[in-house]
Amino acid sequence: MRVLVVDDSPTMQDIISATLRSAHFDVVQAEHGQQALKILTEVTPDLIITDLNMYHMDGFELVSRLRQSEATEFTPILFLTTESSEEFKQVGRDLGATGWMLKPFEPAELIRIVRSILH
Amino acid sequence: MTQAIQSSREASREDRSAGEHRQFVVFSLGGQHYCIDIMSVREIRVVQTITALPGAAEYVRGIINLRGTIVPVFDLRKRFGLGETTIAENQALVIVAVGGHLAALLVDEVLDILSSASDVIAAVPASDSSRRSPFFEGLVSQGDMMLIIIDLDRIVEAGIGHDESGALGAAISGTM
Amino acid sequence: MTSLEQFRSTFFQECDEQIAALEPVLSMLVGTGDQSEALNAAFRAIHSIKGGAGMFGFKRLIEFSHAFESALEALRSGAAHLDAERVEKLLLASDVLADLVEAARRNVELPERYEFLARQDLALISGAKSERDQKPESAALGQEATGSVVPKTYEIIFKPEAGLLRRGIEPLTLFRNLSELGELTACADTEGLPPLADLDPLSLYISWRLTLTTTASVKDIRNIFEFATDSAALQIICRDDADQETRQAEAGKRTPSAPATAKAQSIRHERTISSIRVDLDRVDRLVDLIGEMTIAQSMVLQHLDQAAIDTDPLLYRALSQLQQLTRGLQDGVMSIRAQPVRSVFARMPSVAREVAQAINRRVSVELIGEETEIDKTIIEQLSDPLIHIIRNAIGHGIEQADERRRLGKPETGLVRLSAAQRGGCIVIEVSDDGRGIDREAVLKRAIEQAQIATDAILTDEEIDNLIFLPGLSTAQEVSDISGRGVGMDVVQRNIQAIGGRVYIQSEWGVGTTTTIQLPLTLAVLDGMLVRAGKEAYLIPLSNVAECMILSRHQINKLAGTGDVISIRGRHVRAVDLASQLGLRQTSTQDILQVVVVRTETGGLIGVIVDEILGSQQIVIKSIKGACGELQGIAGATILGDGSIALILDVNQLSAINSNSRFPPKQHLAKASETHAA
Repeated sequence: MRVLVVDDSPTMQDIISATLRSAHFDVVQAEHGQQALKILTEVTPDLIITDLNMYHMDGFELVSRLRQSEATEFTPILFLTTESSEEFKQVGRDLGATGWMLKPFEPAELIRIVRSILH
Repeated sequence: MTQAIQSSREASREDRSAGEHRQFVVFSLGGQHYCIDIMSVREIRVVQTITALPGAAEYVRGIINLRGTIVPVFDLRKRFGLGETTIAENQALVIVAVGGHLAALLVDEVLDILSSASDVIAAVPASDSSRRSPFFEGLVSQGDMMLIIIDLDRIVEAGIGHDESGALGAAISGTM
Repeated sequence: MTSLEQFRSTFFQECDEQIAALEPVLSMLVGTGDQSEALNAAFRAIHSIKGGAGMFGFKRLIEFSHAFESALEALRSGAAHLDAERVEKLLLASDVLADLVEAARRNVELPERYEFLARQDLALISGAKSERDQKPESAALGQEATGSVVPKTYEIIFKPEAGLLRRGIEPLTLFRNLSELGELTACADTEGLPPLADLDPLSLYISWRLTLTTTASVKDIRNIFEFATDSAALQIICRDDADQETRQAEAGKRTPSAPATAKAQSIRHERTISSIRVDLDRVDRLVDLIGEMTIAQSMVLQHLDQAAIDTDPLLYRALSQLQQLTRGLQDGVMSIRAQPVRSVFARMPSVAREVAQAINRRVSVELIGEETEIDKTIIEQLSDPLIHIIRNAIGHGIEQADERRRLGKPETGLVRLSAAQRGGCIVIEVSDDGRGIDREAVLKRAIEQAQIATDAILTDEEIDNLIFLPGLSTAQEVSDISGRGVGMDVVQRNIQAIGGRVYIQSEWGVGTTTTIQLPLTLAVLDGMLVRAGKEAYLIPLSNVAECMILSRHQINKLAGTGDVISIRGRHVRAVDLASQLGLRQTSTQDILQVVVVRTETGGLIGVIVDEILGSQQIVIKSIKGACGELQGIAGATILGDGSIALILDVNQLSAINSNSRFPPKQHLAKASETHAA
């Protein structure tokens, strides 16, 4: 199973990726939405985990583009963000996100949720 | 010899855990016999090209290249105030690890490996002025001979630069 | 399981980068025009720090960065307006943030109300806007702690919208998650299926009736559906106690059909990653290995017969290619460790501001050449000395505004920080337009402290550099700012520890320039190999001005100065290297080879050597650890034949002589040579 992790914080990228790799997921990383889109032309992940606040292209724009693209129309997308407000979640839902998880997170919890999405 | 030391060190480490024996590498220097705790000894080499180290204390003979590591050579004779070593073919370098670094001790000849129960080790008698030195840790007997155990930390601790050596040099001449 | 601890260093590195980036961004806010880009950038920087801090539980850092973020959000949304004062507050807050990061890194607790004032300032900015709720909640798809102990049976009616699959949500996953809560039975209602012709295989037409017996609460169940429910109808009815909850939303289309799961197929492709993070240890290991490889290569070259190489074009070509590759590899690895000095420079304006504010001076800071790259390990050691030099420049150099006006200087003092690569080294200069060094006072103090002789005759330059003597930083009014208990001697020691030099030039009333000269990297050096007595020595090429051959009569003896040679009319002190090092008596040869070296203060020395062996690139081996600090010796290297060459520190050449009690030892090298291992 391959997961694309999109986060502009190297700390977060490292933590998320290492967490997923420890659970034997194949991880591909991108720093922001634009880079994610570029990677997606060559790689097809089973799940995309994305941050919300990013430079170049934020998480919302990324998700709306992914849902318009044939290759990722049905790919599960999990928001992993510090934003917890209902308005933001609503936007996420409307754009077609699969789930919403908050930072900070417990690595074990992330694995559990990723597994539950991918099973 | 180095091989022998390796295996003796292994043995010594086991002994040490039982708290009974210490092993020593015995060498000669100007007719006198000295020894060093085997746990500090890394290897023994024939004397090789020594590069002079200007500005160093006089008992530092120079430096050698030990498989890519630069190691200072201590002239023990000079250190003990017994004059300067004239390098001859049979002389040896005892490579020791002390204070996190390697050092080479220039000695006349490496003789033996000695095993001794720790209770046989005696302090240097206060009256025996010829053997009193800040560098000597104690005495151990081998047959009818008394060997001086060298305190490696003391030999190296003053450093190599000339600045500190002055103070220690004075200390030595005071005690000898 | 992954331990978070291993990511601490990544986090702090990221903090450093974000904070370093923050300063210039915030400074830009002073200008007019559209500031939204700058505000966004600042917001993201703070946001990232907050996110990371949250992972590691650095509470004060989380709270402060949250307050910071809110202030920026208020500015961004237009709820608060930007003005110079607020920008200043943000800059001060970014300094506090940096301190909090540093405290977290060092695992120390700052005083309780350390960030209090800055937080108040931030709160004032964000005041207009209500705080966003940021309390951590549990994950959307996750379960919370189980509610009741006695299992209850719920009936769940789930009528998802047709587009559920387009959000990457599979009903099966939801059911699987539900079944983890307890015993689940599911019954599908296919009534809504449309005729086959009308069926959209990517839409969902089915609804479900589920029965779940569980100890979990209704909230747990709803959590599982959280992301699916918004556009789907969900009813949860508790059969046992009639506790009922209904949630209505827009019902999906009712055209019947079979649900299709059109999951995108994985196409296996190579990963595309534009950058990776590597432990510095690994890079260091590479640097070491390449150093050893360079040595091994020159060993091979030395052992090959030159004639054989010359007559074998294939061998010749292969060898030159090998040399080129080695050099390329070396440059490549070095560049991995290279970093722009920006990360250090960017902090300095805030340091300057802090000092200036504390002692009531006006200062602007100019940064030049921030893109200059230096070895990362050196950069890390640069911050403290720079901070100290800048404090000095403002504390001792820049005058009060009214005094400056009287002197006809601009009221705002200027501190210029520049970096540039010059030849084999990096030069960093801190210059100010302040009052310069009071040479009389320095000289007087040095004599009082008996650091120099009363009748010493020193050049202006030499007097300026006296302030590197311990205890000679001449604070006339000892202020908290520039005093700080450490003097320029500490700065000098720190810079020397990373292989650099520091010196000062000053002009009374005009200003002072402190120059730091640093090696490009700590590991490799281009040097000129010379012979002195029987030994080989290496003079760093960056110190070599020229090489010349002189005959003995061209050396003049001057009373009190020693040997002097004349280079194009300029008198230059000459030093016979081998006798200076105590390797032999003074040379009696008639023809002398001389390497003219330039010291850090710009002075020239003619070094008389016994033979110039050529230039060579070498790997520096520190001997400080094993052999301690030695005057005049900067390190050692191992040559191609396995022998050692010491690296000379030309700045301390004379120091070897004045301090050395090393007796002449001509016999030593000779005697040892016959026993080469």
